[in-house]
Amino acid sequence: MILKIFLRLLLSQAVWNIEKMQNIGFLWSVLPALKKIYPERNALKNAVKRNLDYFNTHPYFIGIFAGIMLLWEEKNYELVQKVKISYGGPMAALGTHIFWSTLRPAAGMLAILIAWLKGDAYLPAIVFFILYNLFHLPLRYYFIAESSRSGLNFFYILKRININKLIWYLQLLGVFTAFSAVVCYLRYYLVDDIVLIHAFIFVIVATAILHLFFKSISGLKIFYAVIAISIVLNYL
Amino acid sequence: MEHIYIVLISTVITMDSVIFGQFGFSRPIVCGPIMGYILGDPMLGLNIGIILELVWINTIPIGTTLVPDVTAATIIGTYWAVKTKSMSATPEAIVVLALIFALPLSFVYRKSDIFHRKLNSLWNRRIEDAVEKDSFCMIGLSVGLSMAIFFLKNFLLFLISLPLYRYLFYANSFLNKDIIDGLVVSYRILPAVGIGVFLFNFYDSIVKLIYKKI
Repeated sequence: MILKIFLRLLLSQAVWNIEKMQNIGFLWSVLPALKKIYPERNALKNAVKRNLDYFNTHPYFIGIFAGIMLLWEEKNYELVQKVKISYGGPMAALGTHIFWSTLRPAAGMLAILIAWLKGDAYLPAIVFFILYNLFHLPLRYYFIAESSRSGLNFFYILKRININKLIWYLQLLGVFTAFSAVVCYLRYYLVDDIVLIHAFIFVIVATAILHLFFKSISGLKIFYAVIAISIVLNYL
Repeated sequence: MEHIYIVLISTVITMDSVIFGQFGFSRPIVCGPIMGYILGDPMLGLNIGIILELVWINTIPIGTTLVPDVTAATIIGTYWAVKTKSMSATPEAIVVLALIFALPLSFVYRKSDIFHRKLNSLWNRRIEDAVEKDSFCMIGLSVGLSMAIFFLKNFLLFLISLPLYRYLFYANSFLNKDIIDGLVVSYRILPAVGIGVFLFNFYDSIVKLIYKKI
């Protein structure tokens, strides 16, 4: 059952809707379990209706809620609904911070360093793909398996793990990789052009400083600004 | 036939980030070389992937926020650049030119994603009605049909947008040597933007963490 739910949860975002977000994706994923818990038609109907309510969390953390449902649905379904509502949002924020704001950029930067270091077209993509999936896929399975055993205690297990430290290590790896990438890029790609080396370093510093003042400046604006400035400076 | 095959693969790649699994093969650093391999120039695909991965390294398209669809931009940019690289002696300029036009087009993909998510709300009513009538098959049907609609939508968008590379020939004919040189310079400078954004975001958190420890 756990494997079945794990595989179905890979499609948890498939019917993401602006009204109730992940409700249908989650319901479809846990439906085989609900059918097993509620063999009686009316009880199943009520359970399905309950799970059609608003629900949203991070797609990598969604298994925690499925696991808690497996353990608690029969004993106390109200508790399951309360957990979904009260923990869904915070877990979404935590998941975004760990996976999408830290792991993905760090793995991406490592892949870019390999691309500049090796000059191979496929190796960076392979490294990124393996590194990223090796981290989150087993975790996604573990979240369902463990939360279906420990229920609400799973949140205490999460609390005990020093997530900030994990993020800090990942960020440290990212920063180290980024500095290595800069050195590698300057050494192998801009080696003959002193003006371009200065311009490159200037743009890094300028972008970082820009983000100090404008937290929400868009990548698109910077992208077009760099192209426009490059063309204008080339004219001058 | 080859065009349909490329459109099919492009559509499947875009399904990763929104519909299926979130495995990361829709990231520019991965889908760039994949498209490059299919089109016969993996290095060009990788270079486009690197630029887009870096500039949008910290962008997270949550819910209905309107940000460029970097997957679509990578696929379109790689396709256009490979198809038009023969017209110029400087492929770097072609890469930047392809991205200049591919990025605004990628907003159409993102807008259509948001529309798809609005459309998905209709399933709530349908499922509620079906459940009232003791039928649960609408739940699975909604998942399948939502995937099919997304697939068809992106398939059609790629079918229309990929052949637009022909207009790059016209755009290129208006460019003089100075502009082309400027595009080459920007091609070499653009990774710096991404590294700047990346370092700042991570640096901020690390300083805070060290400060707390002290």
